[in-house]
Amino acid sequence: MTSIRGNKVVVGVFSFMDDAMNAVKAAKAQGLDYRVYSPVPNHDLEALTYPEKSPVRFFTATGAVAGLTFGFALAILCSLDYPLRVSAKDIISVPGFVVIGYECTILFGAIATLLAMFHFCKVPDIFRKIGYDPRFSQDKFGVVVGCGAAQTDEVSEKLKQCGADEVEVRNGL
Amino acid sequence: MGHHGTQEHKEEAPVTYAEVDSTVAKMMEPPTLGWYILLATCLLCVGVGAASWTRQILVGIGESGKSHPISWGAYITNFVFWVGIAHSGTLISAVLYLFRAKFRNSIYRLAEAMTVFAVLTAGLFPLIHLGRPWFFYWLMPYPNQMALWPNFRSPLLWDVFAVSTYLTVSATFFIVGLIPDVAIMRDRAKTTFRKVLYTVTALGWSGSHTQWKHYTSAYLLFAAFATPLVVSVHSVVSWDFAVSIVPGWHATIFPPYFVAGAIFSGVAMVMTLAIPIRAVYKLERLITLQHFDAMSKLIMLTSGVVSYAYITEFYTAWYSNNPFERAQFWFRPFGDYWIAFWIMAFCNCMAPLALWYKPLRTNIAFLFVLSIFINIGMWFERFNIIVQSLSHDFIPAVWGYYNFSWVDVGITIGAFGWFGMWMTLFIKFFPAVAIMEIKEILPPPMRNEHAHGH
Amino acid sequence: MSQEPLVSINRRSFLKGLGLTSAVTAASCASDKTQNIYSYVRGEPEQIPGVATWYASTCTECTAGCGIQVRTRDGRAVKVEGDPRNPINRGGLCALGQASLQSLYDPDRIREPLKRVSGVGETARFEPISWDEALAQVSEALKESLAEGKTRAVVTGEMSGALGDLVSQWSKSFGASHSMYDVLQPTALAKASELVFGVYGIPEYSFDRAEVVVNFGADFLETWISPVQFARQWADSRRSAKPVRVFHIEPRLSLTGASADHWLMNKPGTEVRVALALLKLVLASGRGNNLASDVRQSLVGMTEKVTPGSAAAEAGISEEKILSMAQYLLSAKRSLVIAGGAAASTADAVSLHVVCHFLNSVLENVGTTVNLNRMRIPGTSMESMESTISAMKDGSVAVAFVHGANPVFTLPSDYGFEYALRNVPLVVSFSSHLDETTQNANLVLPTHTGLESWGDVRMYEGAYGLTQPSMSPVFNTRGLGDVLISLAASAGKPVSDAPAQNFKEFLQESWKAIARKHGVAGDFTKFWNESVERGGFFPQAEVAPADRVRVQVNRSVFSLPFASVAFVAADATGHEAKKDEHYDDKGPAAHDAVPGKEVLVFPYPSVKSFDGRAANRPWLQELPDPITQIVWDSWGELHPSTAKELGVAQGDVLTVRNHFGEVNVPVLVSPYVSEGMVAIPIGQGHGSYGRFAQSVNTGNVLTLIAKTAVKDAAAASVAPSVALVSARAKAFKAPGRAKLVKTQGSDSQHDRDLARTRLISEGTDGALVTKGHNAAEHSHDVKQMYQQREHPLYEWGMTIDLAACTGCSACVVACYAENNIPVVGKQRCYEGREMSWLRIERYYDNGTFTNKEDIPPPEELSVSFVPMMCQHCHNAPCEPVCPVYATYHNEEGLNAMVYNRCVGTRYCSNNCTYKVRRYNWYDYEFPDTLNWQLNPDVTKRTVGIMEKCTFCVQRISEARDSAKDEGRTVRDGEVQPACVQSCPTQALTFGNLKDPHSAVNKARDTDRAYKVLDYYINTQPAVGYLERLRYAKS
Repeated sequence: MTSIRGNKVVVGVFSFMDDAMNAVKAAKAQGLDYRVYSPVPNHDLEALTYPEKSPVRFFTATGAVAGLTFGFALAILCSLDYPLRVSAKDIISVPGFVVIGYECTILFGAIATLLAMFHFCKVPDIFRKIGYDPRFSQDKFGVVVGCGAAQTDEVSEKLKQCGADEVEVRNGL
Repeated sequence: MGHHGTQEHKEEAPVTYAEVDSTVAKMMEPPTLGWYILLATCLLCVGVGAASWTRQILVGIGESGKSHPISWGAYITNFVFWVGIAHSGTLISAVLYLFRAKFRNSIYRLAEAMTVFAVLTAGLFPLIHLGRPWFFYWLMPYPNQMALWPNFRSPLLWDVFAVSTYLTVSATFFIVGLIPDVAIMRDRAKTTFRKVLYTVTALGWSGSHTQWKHYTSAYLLFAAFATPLVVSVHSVVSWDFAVSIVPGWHATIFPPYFVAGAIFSGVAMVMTLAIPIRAVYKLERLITLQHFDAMSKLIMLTSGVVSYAYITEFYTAWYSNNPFERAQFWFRPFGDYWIAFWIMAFCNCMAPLALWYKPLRTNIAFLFVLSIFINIGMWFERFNIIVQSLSHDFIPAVWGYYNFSWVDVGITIGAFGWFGMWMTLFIKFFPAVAIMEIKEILPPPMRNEHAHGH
Repeated sequence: MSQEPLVSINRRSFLKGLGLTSAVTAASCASDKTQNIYSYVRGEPEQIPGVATWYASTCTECTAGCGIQVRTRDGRAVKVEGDPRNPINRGGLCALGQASLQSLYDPDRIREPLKRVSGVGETARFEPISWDEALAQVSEALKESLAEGKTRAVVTGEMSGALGDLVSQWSKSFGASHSMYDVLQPTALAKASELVFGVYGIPEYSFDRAEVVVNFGADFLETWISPVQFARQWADSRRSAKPVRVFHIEPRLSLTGASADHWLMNKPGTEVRVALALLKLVLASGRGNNLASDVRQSLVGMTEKVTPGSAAAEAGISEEKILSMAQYLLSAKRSLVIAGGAAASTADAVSLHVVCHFLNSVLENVGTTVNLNRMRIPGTSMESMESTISAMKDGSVAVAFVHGANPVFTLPSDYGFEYALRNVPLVVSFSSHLDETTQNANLVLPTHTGLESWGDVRMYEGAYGLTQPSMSPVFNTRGLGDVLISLAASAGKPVSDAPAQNFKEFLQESWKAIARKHGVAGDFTKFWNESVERGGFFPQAEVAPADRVRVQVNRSVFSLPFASVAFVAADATGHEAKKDEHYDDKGPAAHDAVPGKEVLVFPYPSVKSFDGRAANRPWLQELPDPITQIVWDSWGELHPSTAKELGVAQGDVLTVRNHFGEVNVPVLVSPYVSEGMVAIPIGQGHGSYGRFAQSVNTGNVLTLIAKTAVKDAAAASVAPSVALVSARAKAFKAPGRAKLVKTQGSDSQHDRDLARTRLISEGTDGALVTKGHNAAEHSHDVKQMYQQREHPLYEWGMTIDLAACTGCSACVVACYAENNIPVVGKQRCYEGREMSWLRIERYYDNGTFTNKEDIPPPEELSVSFVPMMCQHCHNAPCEPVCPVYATYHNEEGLNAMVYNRCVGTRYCSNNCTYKVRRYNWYDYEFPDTLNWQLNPDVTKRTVGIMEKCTFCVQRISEARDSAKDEGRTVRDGEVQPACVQSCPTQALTFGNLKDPHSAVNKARDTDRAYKVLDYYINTQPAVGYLERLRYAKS
């Protein structure tokens, strides 16, 4: 999700994770769109905000299989295109080619994973961090809730109740 | 993990997110004179290496000590040595990650950096070693007007794939691991230079819950891919020898033997690097004695495996009743290079035995000296395998002796300088301790301890 | 090119025996016109660019007279090969002959006439001068000297044939003395023949007709008389059903000794006693009735005082050996007793040769193995040298010519030859190299080398070799003959009744005489052209040895001394050297002050440096000495105990000094030299002569030898030959260490079955039985993991018969010449970077099948030579490891090497079981004009590239192409790699393994056949070896 639904966002800065999680629950209850910034990944937070599995692994698998195929194809086709006998060995010496296939599997798999991760994490993207605050990378938790202009006060209030140290209303995107 | 987190919490009581941030950030404060001197020394060594290589290219590959019949020498020794060093980095960062070994988190960044820079160093040697380095690209399978392809049956070509894959994957793993920490630095940066540097290198990381989701999932997959590399890369390197027919090379035990040796030397190198950094930057609370105890145990294990491999080599040589194998393994301890052999035996097999005495496993001074010994020992292990075997193979009429040349020495020094240069720059500009991952094993701040937890 | 080729044949047409027609194109040699040689702009009619032209000729390196064929490409000689049609060498050629190209292209050759402007000897400085000026000066000097009634002297090396006649006629007409000198000529042997057989000269020996040979140190496989011829005879016999049994008695292991069945190490100078003991035993058995009774009587008297026991004691060998030698001599139908080499070159050499001659007479070998009808007559005469030198010294000589000899280097120092030269107002040297003698010349008129000249060699009556120029002179040189003729003309003194314009005409005149003598009827031009095409005329070549036995004993012979030689002390006095103010005369007193122990100096000739004339040829300098395996150096071999006494170890520098000279040689400790002596090769340690020769600055061992050290033999007031082994000297450790470069790693093969020896012994029925390895190892037939390569048409392979390999290393030099192999110099060899594609491995073992790690004691010694080149394995370990396919297996079974694809990982070399791959660690130089010799058919490799033996693939392609042109397959024997071609004993056979009838297959169809290491590692080499043969020790 590139942006947050609603033309306004309310940013709540939390010192405690449980408070932040309560804020999220509240936002969910109201069916509001939200985003959580945290210094570290956390299982409980994750269970709350993004319970389903990440699709990255499918890309990884695809890359790996492609690599395996490519590796063997490369070795075999090159050998057939330039068929020189060395010692008494066969032109297609499968045992040796296993190494190539294996290495390509890993190489392609890793690269696919990287690209997939970049894709889903929306990086690189230096500028668009809605409601981000530098403290969120240090020791604060940030809960950003998107809402209509009319709801901002109500949402701010809610966040305060959950224990936000401070609350700020900004323009959404 | 949170649960374990509480355990951690009780053990290293007052470490908080903020403290971690500030401790690591301190490391990256403006360089001191000492740091400049260190960097200058490294650059000087690099210069020596560059000069030596230039001479070799201009005058001839003969400027290195290699000759007939010893066509491989110091360069391949260095190559295997540095690839080996790389391994423990991957082991600590990937394998131990999969095993959820918590002691890993504080040292993994150093280890991973060491991995990448060691591979960068190792990667130079095949080039330096070539007789016609200007044609190195002929080893790559690229379409060309000569309609020629490389020989996929050659272990050297396997090397090309193995090492380049290894470099790519471990570099990716390393950089991905850095992103969140760089984001932290971005948000703390004071000078414009650093602000710009980190803003760009953080790729706009915000730590939103979706990013964390995909990040952790990808990170796990990277670890899963890096793990087999720990086994495969050095196995492929060992096949450079095992696939040949040279007595002393042609051994099926080589892959496991090389992998164990690699981890052995790698962990030692981690210690060699971690101990001074820990002392200089006061990281005692992040890299604790318990970490060293764990690494010592890893050294005891791998040293044992390596020693066993040595013994097996001698046993099989004797049991095979093959005159060439037997001659070779008689030659190793009692031949022209007996000193090299006994240095290896002492440093790799005997010295680490001291670690069975528990107090020494947490005796920093001792560990530092030991780690240096092991590095030396492992360098000589490769030297013995390569040079001794070639000096004394099938035809007695062509037995020879390896004469070290100044170019060999210069380039070896250059390699250490090159590696040191990267390390030095790294610890000053990027977090050498994984902030995020240490935070991760700390308990998250809770208003209500009991409300939380499960 | 000035002359047209008399035979323009390439290998193929030559082998087909054609070329006669093309040969008959009139010849007009213009070698009297000097001109520079350029690559063609407009080619000669018979020159096809890129196609080789072959010229038949005769080798002039030594006096053997081997036939050669010179391969020229676009007007430049690029390869010299033995001529199969020549009765002497029958196709083979020695290392020296192969290297004659490097004399032709010697970068240090004198390129134009020179005049000495200052200094003399080492300090001499020369300046160029035109031929006309030079010749004018000479004729002027000649005229004056004639007017003043002074005399003239001509000193030359061995000279036979027309040039010899010309020189003697010239000398006669100019009233000059003509003396020849060649330090290695066995004149003592010729002298002995005169005393015993009544004819002065060297008989022709037939080793192939003898069943037993007893040899007192004659190096007949190296430098003695006609080594290529003898080697072939020996090998033919060794391969036969009844191989010749060779006893070799000498104080130091020589290459020839290494091939003997029974090598006996004796104390130097005791050979004559052993020979006498043999004579005694033979006579005792009642033989010798074919001699005049009084002769037999005197012989019995001669041998009275010696007994086998006493002889054995004196010689330091076991009595049993002497008895068994006698036994074998008596039981053999035909035998041969010879003496020669350094061992037989003592002051009493004549006595030893006399006893050997008598043994041959008594054993009735004369007429069978000793042929008196084919005498070689050496021209060397110490008497005439003596008189010439004394004439020079007392200043009565006004003009002296020196040609083809370097007496300042090869004459014992107390002849004072250098001093004598300096007493002569005008010394003219005709040398092509600035050697020690030439350094003392006032004028240098450089002559052609053998490959640029016309000439002929008369080996013996009935064998005449012709030498023709194979290319225009490289430099501004002229032939001696032409110069003498022009001098004679200008002085109005005709040198022959039919005045010749140039030497070629003179030569043809003398060949007219030959034609007449052998009753060749018809057109002389035809005869001449045929002879030139054939490289000579050999009417009696096939005539059987004489039935007529001539024994006309000169009774004075019995008064010769037959005691062991007593070697004079090193401080012998009374030498004339002190007359020479240039000679550093320390005097006896000074000598006594010298520390160290006295040792006997044992100078010996070798295939590497001969008598020193080959010292400036890089190929020979870099050629490992077959026995010591040392390159680029001289050395002093010491017995371990002697080394211990002198307190020196291998690699130390040993100063050997006596009253006459001093050398400083690296110590080489070997158990195969007799105690109390130091063996030093002749020919190294030049003070001048060229960059390569001078790089070995150990000093000249011949300076230690002194004429006056030789007590006059009763037979002749002057010893007929220089006594090489005669002087003693003080030896002591010099400061510093020497870099002795030995190319061989280990002397022992560590029980690895590389060189296998098969023992021959007499069965109960007297028939010969051989005992070799068990059959299992021979029939090595393992299941192959991969399907073996298909070879549609050809599968090239080689068979090497170790029983015929003498280790002479001719093949190694041939390989250098054919394949543009660079010479890397001493330092690089020391680093193990010599480039030789083919090496001769020399192993010391005890001939049993359990070789100990340590080398055996002399009495058990059995030496093996293994020529080792790329084995072209079918399961080649080098191929699969190359990442770029720079080496692979081609469909003709060759292990191909693609130079320009090689990136230089060197993995192939590591994985090569036989370590025959060589790597270009540097870019190597071919200093001008050595680069003229480079073979245009072979790539010159650059730095960073691996190279190795290709089976001379360029020759294979040539044959394959011509076969294709003629729509046929390559014939057996049509392809001969350089090594195979040059082998004097034809130990190497090459051909197509696919063809069951090919020579290479036939050769290996024996239970002696095996493949090196194949039994252990299944490399399936294309090179097969045949076990060495050796009689069991008895």
